[in-house]
Amino acid sequence: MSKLAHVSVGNYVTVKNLSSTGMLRERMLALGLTKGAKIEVIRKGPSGDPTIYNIRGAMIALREEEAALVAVNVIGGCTEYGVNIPIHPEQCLNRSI
Amino acid sequence: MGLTFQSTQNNALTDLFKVEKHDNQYIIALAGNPNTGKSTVFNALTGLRQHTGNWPGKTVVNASGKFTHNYQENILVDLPGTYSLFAASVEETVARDFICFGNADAVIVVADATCLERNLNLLYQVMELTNNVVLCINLIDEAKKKNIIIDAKGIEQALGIPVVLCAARKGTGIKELKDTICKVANGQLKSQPKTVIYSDYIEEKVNAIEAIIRKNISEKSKTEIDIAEKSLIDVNSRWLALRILDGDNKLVDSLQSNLNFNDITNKSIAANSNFSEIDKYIVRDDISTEIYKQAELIRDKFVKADTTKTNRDRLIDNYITSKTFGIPLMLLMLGGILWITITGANYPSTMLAAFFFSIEEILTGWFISINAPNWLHGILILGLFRTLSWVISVMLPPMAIFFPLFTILEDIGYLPRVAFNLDHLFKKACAHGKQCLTMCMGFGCNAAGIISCRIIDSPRERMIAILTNNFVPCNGRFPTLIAIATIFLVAKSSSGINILPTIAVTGLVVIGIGITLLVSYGLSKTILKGIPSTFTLELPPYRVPQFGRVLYTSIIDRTMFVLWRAIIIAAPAGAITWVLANIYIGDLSIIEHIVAFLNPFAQLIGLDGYILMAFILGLPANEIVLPILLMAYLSTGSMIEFDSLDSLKTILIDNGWTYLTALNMMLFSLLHWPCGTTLLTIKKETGSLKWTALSAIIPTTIGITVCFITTIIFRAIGLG
Repeated sequence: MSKLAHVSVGNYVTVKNLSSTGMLRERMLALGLTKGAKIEVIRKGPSGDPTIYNIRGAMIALREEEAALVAVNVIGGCTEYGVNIPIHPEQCLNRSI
Repeated sequence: MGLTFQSTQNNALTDLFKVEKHDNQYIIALAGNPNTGKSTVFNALTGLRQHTGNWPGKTVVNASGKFTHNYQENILVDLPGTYSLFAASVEETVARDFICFGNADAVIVVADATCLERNLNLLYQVMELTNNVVLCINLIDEAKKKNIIIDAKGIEQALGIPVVLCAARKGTGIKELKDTICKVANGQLKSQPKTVIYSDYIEEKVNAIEAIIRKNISEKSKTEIDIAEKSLIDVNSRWLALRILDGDNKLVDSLQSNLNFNDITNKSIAANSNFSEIDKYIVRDDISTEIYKQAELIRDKFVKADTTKTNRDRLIDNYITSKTFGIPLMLLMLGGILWITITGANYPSTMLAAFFFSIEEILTGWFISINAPNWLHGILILGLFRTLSWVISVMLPPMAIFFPLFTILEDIGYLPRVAFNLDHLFKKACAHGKQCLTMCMGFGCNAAGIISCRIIDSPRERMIAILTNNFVPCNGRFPTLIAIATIFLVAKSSSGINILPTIAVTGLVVIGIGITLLVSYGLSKTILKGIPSTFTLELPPYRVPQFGRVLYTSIIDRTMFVLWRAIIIAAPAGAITWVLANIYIGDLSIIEHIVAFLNPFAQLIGLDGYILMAFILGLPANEIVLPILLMAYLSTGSMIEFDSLDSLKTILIDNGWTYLTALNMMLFSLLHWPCGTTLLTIKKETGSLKWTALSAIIPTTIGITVCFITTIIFRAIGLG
């Protein structure tokens, strides 16, 4: 298990649980960061933070602090761009992680 | 004074809690995720032209409009875009309260066809509240381009509510949407939404609490029930039971007190929902997970996406948000827009000035022919008309070029990328990443920028954004900056392309951004202490702008609106300035007295008394600063034909302007008190005189300091 903030670009993960509270937790749930949700780490900003994630077909930017509150399982990587939404990590599992 | 939620909460969002309606009218609420084209649907239904933009949170002020369809009159209320109704933010509370307790007859949930799964989350929540829901899947044209195929009939059956496919920009599906929503609102079309069934342990408790609620309601005699209660009773009791289970205590308390439950009911509810905070988290997690599982199912079954197609947006983002190109591209984009504006505005400006001057000659001749008194000619022509001419010829061309360009960037979806690229800077300044978006709005008008600060949830960071918005030059100041930069930085001999003014104005904008960051940091470390709050920013898909609509909104809505505001302020200001310049007390006119008083201080900061006076008289609107300044110079000096920028230069140089004066004029224009409208808006948004005063004191102090320093430097090296 690792933190979403530490997953490198190109990887797919599933959400295990959230350790955020209050309003942020509500917002994360509303965006679809629910248990088992598949997330793709798309890219990092010009200074390495924030990071853009593909969450349920939408591109959402989270700062490192927020992404560190999401515990995830890395399920595979697909370092090439061009994979369309919605996410189909199965296609990338055979590639390098 | 503490920075409380109340002190920053805006009332405007709750203004429309109850919508006035007549007997034969129906109220329809428009809900949806941010940036799903809700406003476009709103415009398509009502025929209004509310401005839309391609970034989440664009609609911060609610709009309502009417439309009549098949003789049925409907009032459409555009709710703020929300991801959920669990009320994490002010917008969500408003949307939830309106759907729960407002008197809407039906709700349209607008969903983005390219991101249906996420949008269904809100839909499921709305379906738990009311049966009268229509799902409008918008942006179907964009989905088609992305090879996403949606089976609307299938979704309709799976959800149990009417589903309409729309491309509101093109008007596709709007008639069908009207047909459907009217029937749902007037009861001709009844549906049974298939809401989510949760895990057994939740369902058991929900059923128990629901039974208690229903019992309590039926026990009450009808006379006991007041109107507020009645609307609450209409609220789905299942939804109430769910919120009692997973909602925070504040929400539960307010619901229960609104419902006037008796003690026995309260106790039995408490017995069934004695969850700890952690348990509530688990319940809420499970509920969200179940809803999303359902949404996934629908997506898998009824949405077919071609995953092999290259994702265009990501290719563009490779450059726009890249480590290497991201920020340089942004500066280049800004510089490019300013260059087009400056270069393009020059010629029409000259034309307009020449045109107005010829009119002035005709009018003057006419005044002479009827033997009008000199003072009348002075006030009306030399004061009022001349100031108006200046305002129009200096302001109109840059605005008419800048606004459409900016609106195109907004529509494409570039602004959130700017916020994304610059977020690390705002984070270092302990400010909110979305402050960048409010600054972008400030380019148009600082008052609008300050209203847009509502998209920032945290009160502390919202206040920082409000206090620093003025450091972005609004379009009232852009023409001043552009005119001065053009006058002083275009060498007379050089013909054709000259990029110096562009660089100067771009540099000023960058300085403004830098000062915004510094002041934000300073505020965060002193009177607005705190750590940065959370940041989630959705980057919307790129969209091709609708050029026709861009031209319409930017020319009519923005340019004309701003120009008109400038004109109605400039006209009397021009007349008054003329009067002040021509009434003598002793040897000097009133203006000269004021100037003489201000001059010693103004000289210290590299300006002169006239300039400082123009800034003070320009408080109502920044647009009139330059015209007032010219008025004042002209009224006391020799008359000059002002039919070109060259003559403008002559006026300024005759009055002792140097490069230092020009530089400091531009700096002070960037860094001084906000205009009257902006101050009023700040007062309204913060509800506090203290913060309003601070919003004027901070930039003014900085402006004076900066100008003082440049003056010292210039004089030290012998250039001043």
